[in-house]
Amino acid sequence: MGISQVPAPAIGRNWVEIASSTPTGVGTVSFTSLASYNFYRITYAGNLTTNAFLYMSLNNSSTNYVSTAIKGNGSWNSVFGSKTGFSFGDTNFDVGQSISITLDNTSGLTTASGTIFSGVAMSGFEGAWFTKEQINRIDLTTSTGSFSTGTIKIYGSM
Amino acid sequence: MAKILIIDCSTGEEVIRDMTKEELAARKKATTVEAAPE
Repeated sequence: MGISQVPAPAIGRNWVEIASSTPTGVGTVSFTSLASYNFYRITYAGNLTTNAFLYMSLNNSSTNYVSTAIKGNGSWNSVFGSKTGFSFGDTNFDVGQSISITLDNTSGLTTASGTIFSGVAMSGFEGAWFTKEQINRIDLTTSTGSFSTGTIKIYGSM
Repeated sequence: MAKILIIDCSTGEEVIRDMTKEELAARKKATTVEAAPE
């Protein structure tokens, strides 16, 4: 799948586009003052600068996460208690990927699931966020460098 | 200096500014890859 093909929101939900951004030259994109929804979907197709990882954090929290992620080389990156966000990019994200992530905020335990579409060996990720807080902010940040190309979209659904 | 783009989704206002030292530290912590548990 080419990077121009941003995954469409899942069939069966009335997804509302909350925000859209095409960042260039910034290391972090912060979507703030999000309206309350039960489900959120984040899509991104594009390129980061060379050797950048891509991470996501919620509500600017530094304490409430457990995250696990499958790295591009197939090994597990699993950190409990100290990691502040979900990771879904390995060092090959700069070659161009597209991702689609859904956050389920209905049960008091926010969970993330997603798909990474690309030609590189990236098989997916999963994670959970142990808090009952309503999501009001989503940050996407690169480990180094910046966003280079592509568009990020945030959707919401009840 | 690394930049941050802040989008207020209630108003559509966008601001780009340099990241603060605190934001840079948080970014470093958030993106540090640690070893998987046994």
